[in-house]
Amino acid sequence: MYSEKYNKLFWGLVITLFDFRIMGFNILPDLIGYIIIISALLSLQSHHKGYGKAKMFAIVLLVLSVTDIYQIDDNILNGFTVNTTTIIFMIISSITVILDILMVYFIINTILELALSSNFDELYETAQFRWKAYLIINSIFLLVSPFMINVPEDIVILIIIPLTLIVMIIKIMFIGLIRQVSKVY
Amino acid sequence: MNIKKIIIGVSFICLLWIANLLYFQFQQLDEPMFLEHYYELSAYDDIDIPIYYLVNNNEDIEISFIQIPQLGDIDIYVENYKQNKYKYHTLKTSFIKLKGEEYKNAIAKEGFKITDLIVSFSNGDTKIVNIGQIFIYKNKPCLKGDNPFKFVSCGSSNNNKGYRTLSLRTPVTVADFEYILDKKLDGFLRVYIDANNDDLSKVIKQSKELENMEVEQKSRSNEIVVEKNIKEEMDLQREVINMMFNVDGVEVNNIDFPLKLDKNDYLKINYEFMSEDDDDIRYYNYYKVYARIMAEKDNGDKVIRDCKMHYTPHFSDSDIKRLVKERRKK
Repeated sequence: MYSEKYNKLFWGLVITLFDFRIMGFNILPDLIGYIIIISALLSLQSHHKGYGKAKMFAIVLLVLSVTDIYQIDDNILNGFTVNTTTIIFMIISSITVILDILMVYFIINTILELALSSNFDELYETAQFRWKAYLIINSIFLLVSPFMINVPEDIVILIIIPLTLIVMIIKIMFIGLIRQVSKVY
Repeated sequence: MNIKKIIIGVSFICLLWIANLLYFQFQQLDEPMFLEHYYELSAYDDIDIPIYYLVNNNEDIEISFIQIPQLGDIDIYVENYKQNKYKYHTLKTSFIKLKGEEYKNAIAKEGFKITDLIVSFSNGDTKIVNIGQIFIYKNKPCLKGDNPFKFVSCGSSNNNKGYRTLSLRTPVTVADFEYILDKKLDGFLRVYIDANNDDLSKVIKQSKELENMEVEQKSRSNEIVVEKNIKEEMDLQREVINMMFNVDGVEVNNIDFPLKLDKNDYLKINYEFMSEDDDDIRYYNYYKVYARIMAEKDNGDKVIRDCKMHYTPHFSDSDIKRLVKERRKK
């Protein structure tokens, strides 16, 4: 019944996950992803009103995602030079992560409530585990980010590359959870 | 997730950002910072004087033109060259290009000394900056008298060491070694003299063998070069380089001058820029100086010969940080 709507949410999240840039322009902008997410959450409100809270954060993320459309094509492996622009982008990135955690929290919290009421124990446990992992990894990212403007470049590269990979894995795990939900409801 | 925990978490992250931004701001320079340069240069035709300065990574500032107070209000052309990026700062290199006409009058007598520059930057600011001491001589600073020294070989490496080997055309008595910047270089520039002719003859003989091998190889360039020959040549090359850079002599300060040298004797001068204090701030300066060999021929003629020595610092992020800190103390 709600499978199609969850699938929509799934694809919206997939679009926000990947960046394909040509000459600095994101050809798959997060903006499109967030529009799909908002639309999915709006329709999922009929399944559970908890998705309405997640939608509020998705709207703010949509506004912030405008900054993601164009970014200076700067590969971190070529060196990480801190200037005013990088600092602004890093702060926006931290705000985005905070809002993203809150959005994910309200989505997973709603899934937990639905799983509890439907006695889907396995789904409940998976959702709980993935939320904890999502919160821990993204919190580490938030705590580490401010130091990146002051620590030596080689340490930045040493930390940022594995951390970004782990964040990606954890996001994929969350998106996987939505796929799982879409098969159940 | 309760609202209190969210507020505490977000506040903590905000505090981390504020602390890091304040620290970042503290590292920023108020204005471009010029490093200290100690050069001795000779005015043959045109001179390129490399000048090094630090600017914030945040600002795209370059030197537009400069004025040298001793030369009046002529705007001197500056060529902005390479730059090295560090965590907070960029080390820029600019070449002051002095052409014959510009400084002809100033060097008409004995040359001049530059300590300050009036620098105009690309952002429109003009500042008077201290750059150390740059001596520009009318003639090569220490060429006096007929040359009894014959050049044999010289070399320098990026570990701040160098050597010059000379042989004697006529007997001389070396009376002393002098530097213009002796106070600035005391305990930092170490000069050693090696007049052990048995060892030197061996090195020079090997050096000549190497030259002959190279000439021979060039003349046989169309033939297949035997691997064994290449290995032999490389081994010899390595040996010669090691021997040349190896400091075997006695430090100038410990030599009881005068030093008597006969015709065909060899004299090797080794130098290294090294301080006993690892934190010596002079490691951050640029040097291109001459040591002067003060000698006397048997007929009583005074002779001064030069030995060029240079030092270029190689900075790490922590060096730059310390340099900025030290300069702020001043």
